[in-house]
Amino acid sequence: MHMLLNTDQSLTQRSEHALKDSFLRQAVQFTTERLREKKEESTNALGDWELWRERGRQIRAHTIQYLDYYLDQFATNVEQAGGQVYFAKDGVEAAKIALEIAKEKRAKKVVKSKSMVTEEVEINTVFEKEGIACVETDLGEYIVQLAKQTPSHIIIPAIHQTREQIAQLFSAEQGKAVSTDTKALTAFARQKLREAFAQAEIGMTGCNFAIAESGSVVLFSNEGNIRMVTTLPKTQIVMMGMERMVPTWEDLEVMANLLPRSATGQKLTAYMSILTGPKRSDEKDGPEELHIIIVDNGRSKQLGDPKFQAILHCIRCGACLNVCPVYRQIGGHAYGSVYPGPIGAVLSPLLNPEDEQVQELADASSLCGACYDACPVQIPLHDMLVYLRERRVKTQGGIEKVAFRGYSAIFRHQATFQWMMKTLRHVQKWSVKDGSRWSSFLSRLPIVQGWVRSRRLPYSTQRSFREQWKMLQKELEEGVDNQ
Amino acid sequence: MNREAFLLHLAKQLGRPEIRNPPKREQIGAPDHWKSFVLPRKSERVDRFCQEARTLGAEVHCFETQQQLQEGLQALLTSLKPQSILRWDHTECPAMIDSVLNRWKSRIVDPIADPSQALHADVGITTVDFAIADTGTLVLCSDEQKSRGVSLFPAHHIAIVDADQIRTRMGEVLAEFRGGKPPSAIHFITGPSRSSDIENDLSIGVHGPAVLHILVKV
Amino acid sequence: MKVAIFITCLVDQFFPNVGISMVRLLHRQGIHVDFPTNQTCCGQPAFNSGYTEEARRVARTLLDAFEDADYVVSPSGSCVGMIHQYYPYLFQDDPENLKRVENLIDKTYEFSQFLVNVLKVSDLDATFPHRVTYHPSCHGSRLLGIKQEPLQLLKQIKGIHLIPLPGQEDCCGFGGTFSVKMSGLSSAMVKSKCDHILETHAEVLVGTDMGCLMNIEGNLRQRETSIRVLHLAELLFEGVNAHVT
Repeated sequence: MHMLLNTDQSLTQRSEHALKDSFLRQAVQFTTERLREKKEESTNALGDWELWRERGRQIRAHTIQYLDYYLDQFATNVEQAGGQVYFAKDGVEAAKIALEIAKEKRAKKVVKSKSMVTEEVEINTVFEKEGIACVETDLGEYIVQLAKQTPSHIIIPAIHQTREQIAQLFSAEQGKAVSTDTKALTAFARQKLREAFAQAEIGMTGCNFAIAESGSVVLFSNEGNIRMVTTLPKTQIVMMGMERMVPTWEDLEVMANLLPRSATGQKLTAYMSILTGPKRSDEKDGPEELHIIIVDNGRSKQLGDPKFQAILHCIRCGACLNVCPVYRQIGGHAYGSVYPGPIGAVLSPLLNPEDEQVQELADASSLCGACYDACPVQIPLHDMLVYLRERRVKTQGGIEKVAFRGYSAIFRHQATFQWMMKTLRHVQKWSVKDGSRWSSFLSRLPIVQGWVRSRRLPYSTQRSFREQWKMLQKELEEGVDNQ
Repeated sequence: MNREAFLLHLAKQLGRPEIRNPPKREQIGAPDHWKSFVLPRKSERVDRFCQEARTLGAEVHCFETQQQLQEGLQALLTSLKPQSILRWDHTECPAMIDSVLNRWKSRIVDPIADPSQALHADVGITTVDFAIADTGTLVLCSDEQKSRGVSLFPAHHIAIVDADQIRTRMGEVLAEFRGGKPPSAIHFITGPSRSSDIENDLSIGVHGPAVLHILVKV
Repeated sequence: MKVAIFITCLVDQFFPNVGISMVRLLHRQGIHVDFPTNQTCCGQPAFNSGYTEEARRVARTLLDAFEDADYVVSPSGSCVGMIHQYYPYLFQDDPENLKRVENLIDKTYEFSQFLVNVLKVSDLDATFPHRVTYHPSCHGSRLLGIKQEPLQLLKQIKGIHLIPLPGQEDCCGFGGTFSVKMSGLSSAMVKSKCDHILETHAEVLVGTDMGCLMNIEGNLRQRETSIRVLHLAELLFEGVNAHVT
């Protein structure tokens, strides 16, 4: 599956590119800061956030551990409620199933609500190749679609767009000038998208949670577009990652407490819809048919793997993006994959193990652990990043491997370590002059080049601690303290 | 891929045979202290509900009697001057509001006869099935008389709440739907439609109603 | 009480004063301090880059060095975090060493953690009449949960003016090999951190991890600012000394 956007560029190149975009960086920092503060406020207000996190983890861990059982229960209940269920092993199969439904309905237009899994399977491209128009209806997604881009944040897809850019896009769409005022922009989208809602034969949504015990699909939104998508078109297609399950309605209460707080700092989003089956025959609105496509697409490879199974606990809140110091510097596109931020740096390599270039995403972290702290279901993303690196270097050679072999050989014995350090100290004497300058030989080393971009080299004129220890020890034993 | 093969593959990955009986669980639902969180007095629930809903930008009005509520609705409609009105056909709903709506009868839209007008209606009037004090949330179930669009399409949503419908927390409402067959759609509505997608600037009424009026009969 | 210090390779080679300050402070608390010289490094540079086997070989030096100590105290939350969080993983298939790991974890503390939680130090009788801002290092605060301990020690100092650091929980961009491997990103991060530090108009930046402080100081020096960068042990010792003299 093809998930990279700029396959011709490396992670380093993409991030260097993003670092030069000062509007992007400012917008990303401003938004993430705001989301982070709101999240902190709303979780602090609970007073016992850690207890909720732990409960969230327990529920997700249990569900994934018995995923086959709950999916079976869910599918049976969906069918009992009058819906149809499909299972797709990968993105190609998922898109094919959706396309067949659309063709059978002779659909010309599909209205969509925001869904990461449909980005994964690139459903818009698939539909458009067949002449079926796909309209994104989440305001941010709509903007991104008009700009022919991809989302740069899981929750705020158009985080990188200025209002001037948005007004330009809308004006082009309208054929006359739309003002840059937020109200005017929103009013335009409301009007324009209402036409699409009324025309579309098919409404397509993702799924935030699926309740096994009743076969219900739960969707959260603030704008109300998801309600439109699930009210007007005659046919509804739900595409969901297979891990979206929760066992019971009681468990939903926990998720409804964790997701909005973590995503946007809200106690609850403006709308939470629990949909069970298509509309009943005597109801006046709602879809006549409901098709639910359950997608694996690389997820099942994580099951049974003690290091990575917990990645399937993710509830897609985006909290890890907002706290990540790397994401906050470069935004989402530099990750070059559908999922950005720490979750993307782990999930994308895991879902695409055969794609070598995606594997380098594991390097996009200083391992500070902020993502784990922010995660409402306690996924140890920072550990997984290390395990991914471990997996990657097993099959790779190169200079880094030689360097760490050398490190290990030297540092495993105190004597070699000390000898090496003494030697380096001599090297330092003639190569680094007072920390502010360094010899041309040294500055040619890539490792030094990286460091001195923004820092002076550390420079020590003193003897090492271990060389001073004997004296210090003697001094303390003789009772001469402090001087 | 067929269901059996798909599920069998998952079981295999998990390193065990397929499971036929419900797996044992230690922890279900919210932490215990939360499950026992109940505001015991009706007045507390009403106060909390109103406070939370107002914080989110809903216009909340409380009334002591049915008649006062009807007068309040009358006054609200007079001030909104709607050209088109959607309303639930739910029997309780007309009983309560029909006398009020007499004046506006010609403006009531039949969504089936005129779907396009329904989509651009000015006002939608509904009752609710439940309300949640903790989050200031309205809970609306769909059925043959209670269509989904009434609380969604119009610019103004007027919801009529009876104080007895207000529960403390979401879990109490969810518990009402366990076991039986739930309605095709349950909507939890918390404040007006909103978005911050344009430069973080909050805008109200993106796809759903821009104004949420809640009339509470205490 | 016999305390062995785990000096860490960075302090040993580049910042011996941090170690000396720590030893003297512990000595003042009536503790017999030992320095087993066969220690080298915790193995984190290799581990974080994915070289588990290389990390394991180096990690063994610590198992040997601290076999007989009652307590192990170190001036780095990151290196102690490595032992606490990842040694069990490194030695999961080696039951004999796994036992030694558990033993090591039980007795290993970061410096401020040891002073506050084990020695129950409440007042060091130190004076430090300067404007100081504190950067909580990620590994100490997140892996080990050391959040209050350094602040408790700083707050008891006479004359100190503690200024909160905006965005204090954000990583400084060091991340070991990350700082050179992803140097553009790392540079952007350390610049943000230093912008915040300079905003405080503090005279002194204090921290508990020399990896982070080396990174931050490197950028501050490049900007040619005069703000002092001190490890908590250095600041405390200077404060104690100021009082004595």
